[in-house]
Amino acid sequence: MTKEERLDESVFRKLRDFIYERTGIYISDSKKYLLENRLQRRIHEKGFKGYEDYFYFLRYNADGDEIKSLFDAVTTNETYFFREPQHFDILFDHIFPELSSNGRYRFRVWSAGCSTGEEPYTISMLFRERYKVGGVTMEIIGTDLSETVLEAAKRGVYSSYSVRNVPESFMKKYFRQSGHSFILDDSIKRSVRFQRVNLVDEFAMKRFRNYDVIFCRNVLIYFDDKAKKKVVSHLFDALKPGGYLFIGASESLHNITRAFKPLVINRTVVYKRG
Amino acid sequence: MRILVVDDDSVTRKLLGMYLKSKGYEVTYAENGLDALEKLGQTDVNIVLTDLNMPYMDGIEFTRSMKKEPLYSHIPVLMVTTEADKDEKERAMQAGADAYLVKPVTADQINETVRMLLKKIFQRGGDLNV
Amino acid sequence: MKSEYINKLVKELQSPDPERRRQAAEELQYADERAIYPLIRALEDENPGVSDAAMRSLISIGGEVTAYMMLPLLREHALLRNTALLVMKEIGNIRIIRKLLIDKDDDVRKFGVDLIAELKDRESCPYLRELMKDPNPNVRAATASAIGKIGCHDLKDELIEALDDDEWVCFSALDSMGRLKDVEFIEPLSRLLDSGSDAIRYAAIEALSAIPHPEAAGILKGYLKKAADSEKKLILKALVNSGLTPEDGNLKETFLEMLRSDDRDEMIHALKGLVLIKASDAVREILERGGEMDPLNPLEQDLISIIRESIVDIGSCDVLIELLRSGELKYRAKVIAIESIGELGCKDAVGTLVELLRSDIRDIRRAGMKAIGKMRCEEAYEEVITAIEDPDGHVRRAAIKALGDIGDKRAFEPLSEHLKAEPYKDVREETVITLLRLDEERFLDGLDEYDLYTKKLVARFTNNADVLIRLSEAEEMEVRIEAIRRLGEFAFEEKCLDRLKELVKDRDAEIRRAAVISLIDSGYGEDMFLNLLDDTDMWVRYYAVKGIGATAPERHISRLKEMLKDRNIPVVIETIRILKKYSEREDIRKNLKSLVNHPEAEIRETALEALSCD
Repeated sequence: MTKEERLDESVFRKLRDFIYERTGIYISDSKKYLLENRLQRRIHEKGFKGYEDYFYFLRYNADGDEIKSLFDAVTTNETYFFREPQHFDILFDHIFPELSSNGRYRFRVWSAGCSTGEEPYTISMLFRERYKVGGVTMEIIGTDLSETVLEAAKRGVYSSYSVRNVPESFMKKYFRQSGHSFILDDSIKRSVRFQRVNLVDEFAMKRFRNYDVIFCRNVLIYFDDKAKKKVVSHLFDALKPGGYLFIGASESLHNITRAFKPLVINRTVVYKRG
Repeated sequence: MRILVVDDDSVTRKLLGMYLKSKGYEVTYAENGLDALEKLGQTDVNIVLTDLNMPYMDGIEFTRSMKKEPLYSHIPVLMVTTEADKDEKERAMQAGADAYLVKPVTADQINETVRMLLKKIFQRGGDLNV
Repeated sequence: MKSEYINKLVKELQSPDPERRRQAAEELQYADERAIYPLIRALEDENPGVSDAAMRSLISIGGEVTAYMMLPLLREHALLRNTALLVMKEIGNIRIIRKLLIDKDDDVRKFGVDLIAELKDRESCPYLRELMKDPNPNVRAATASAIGKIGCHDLKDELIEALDDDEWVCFSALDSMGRLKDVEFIEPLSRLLDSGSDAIRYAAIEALSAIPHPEAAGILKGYLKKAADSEKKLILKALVNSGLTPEDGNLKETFLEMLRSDDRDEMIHALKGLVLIKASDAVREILERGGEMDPLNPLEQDLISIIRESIVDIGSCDVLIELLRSGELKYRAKVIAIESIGELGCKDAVGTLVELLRSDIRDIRRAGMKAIGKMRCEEAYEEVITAIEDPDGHVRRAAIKALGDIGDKRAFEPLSEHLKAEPYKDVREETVITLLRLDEERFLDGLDEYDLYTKKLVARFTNNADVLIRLSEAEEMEVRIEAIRRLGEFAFEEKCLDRLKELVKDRDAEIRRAAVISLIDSGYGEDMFLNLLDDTDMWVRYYAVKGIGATAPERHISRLKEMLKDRNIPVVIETIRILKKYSEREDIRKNLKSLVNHPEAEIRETALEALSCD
């Protein structure tokens, strides 16, 4: 496929609708170029000439594997350890202590849209430090739409960009440098379970229940209001009564649902299921 | 001095904001009660001016929630609404509203009421959140 | 949903356990009218999760009956009232909503107007005309607002009249004028610039700035001297849009103030303004503003690009170089400065850029290397060649690309060595491209020893037809395919065309596919396409059809007509597209008409489209 082949409007719309139907992710006009770039390679690999041909392939001919590749193409990845740290402070300074004082000793945490794993691994490392003495355990799962990023998460090998916010003491204890990469300690890698999950898939989401805390940060921005409402309702169902939901600092649920109670702790908004 | 203006209509927010800004107040906006609760926690606010009819969380429920929170219960609430109904006003005051104005309101009405509420805070010797 | 099941769920709505109540409310979204009344009761459930689910289910059930049953709730207390409004909005049944417009209750009429505005129902405009004369000012204000939100352009006069109404109504009318942007509003708006009310004046200025007409811009410019600070910003926004070049020196300060705003719109106008007045002394502030943004945040990413474009448009190399040398900029701002230098091609920056290549921060090294490459700085050769071993992959890639841009053949050896050890695919790709650029012949000498991936890259980027033919016979399938895809570009050479003739008869469908795709853009291959219309592989047929369309469709109409009966949908769609040009022909129209009732939606649509064009 020549580089000059551009993704034209009508094909873009068809692709966008196709992706939306299956993932809830809405590719806005301003992000059209991203889709264009990401799909180019895939189209060439599969032996097609252009975007429209590829669309027909997806629509009429493709198998589950191809759809998976499509999902890979539309999920954005770059994240890092200790991102938006105020959320972790609240988790360990308020939420876990609250659960403990209610007699709970097993915490269940879900990192939804975990990409390459930095978020759940950060929580795991912090937990290791805070609860050194034991007596309390945490079960944590990281999920994402894209298989590729989950594979990378399981490998636990990171770039210097990814670890740039990690405090020195954590670097020494949990990472090992190898060439230009940073390898996460096995004990932390083993502590997080990873699974592929599509947040708008009602059926799949039904299996998630009784979580104490859910992190869904900087994920909802990719959905339109309709899909957002659906996802948020699934997340609500996945929480135990009294459970907490964290979303990105620049996001809000105020025009999505009234089911959660917004709490503000240290000027940070957290959502609680009544 | 910062005032939180809560209304689901963008034009109304703009107009009320203009009235207040022309008297030198700083203004923060919210679209409904839930948005307002979030903004309250994130910004220091001296007075809340809120509509009654809003989706997801209306003004009455919002006022009630606010007044239950020790952190915000001292902040005066001025309800500005189209509802001229006496029962509605009663309900609003019972929920904890400190003043109630019926739309359409003039710049003077708003500013007079705001000034009156601020005086009350001073007289109580209360902390202005400044 | 069966009756017994609905009944069961309705019972569950009374369960003492809120979890079960919520699940029941949730599940009822699949029910019908029988669930409406119980769900309405559940709206008042003390547990917000339950009431939220009930609301969503009512919306999901939708329909006229649900909307109708929301009406009495409008007279209830606030919670029910506002939830009912939300449900009515989501259902969007205009007919029912219009009933509200004639209600006795002032508030209900206002709700109706607001709903119609949110749904943007143009056909309700005549109703709004009546409502502009409503006795209640809130209704009139809501109506004035709705006119603009919906776009009822035939209600212009009513809006102008409303300027003399209650301030509340006037304000809404002004907002609508700004949305409708009609030139008839200019005159009445200009009179309001004398208003004693700050709010009215401001809204009038806002409305004027929205009207894209030189007369409006002229009025605003004239008013500029009398304007208050906040009004000035607004006016400048408007002037920037009409492309006027303000000459006042002190406007820079106002633009800089606007730049610091959190409002994206204000920022963008400020940048436009600063570019128009060529404020090179504002470059530093602009960079710093860009440096405050988070490139990982998709909402701020765009802003960073816009800021960079503005810096480039202001075009001051000296200022940028000076800023980088002084070391005052924080790292993100530095990156933008470096990128701008690259776009501008500031030759004097080479020395500074080379120094920056030693930075610890990868984003700076990346940007610096890209800029050096863009400017093709031969002087930087030594630094660039060292950078091919940089710890960061992006930096290595940029360095290698830069070497290709610079074109210094000395780089060949080190790059060949590097190719063997480079771990990242995209960097290897860049290396191969660069090696081919520097000395294709020499690189191709080693062709037989290269690994699969490198051979693929050679196939992708070489312009040597013999090499392509050679690679089309390679052992590895992937390499063959890559080479075959390129052969079409050289179809004018007989040896390549002959090779392609063989390939379209290959046993492997993937090979045939690659060959036919290759031919499509070449202008050759008419006979081959014709033969391939019978191919067993659907995609080969698909591309063969495309090929006929690209060469000489008019000669093969009868064959194409046969293809309309192909069992694979994409083949049929593509055929219809090509036959569209000949849709005035009786026989073709007949064939297309028969497809209008095809079970597959896209075929129906494509056929209809082909028939409708003349």
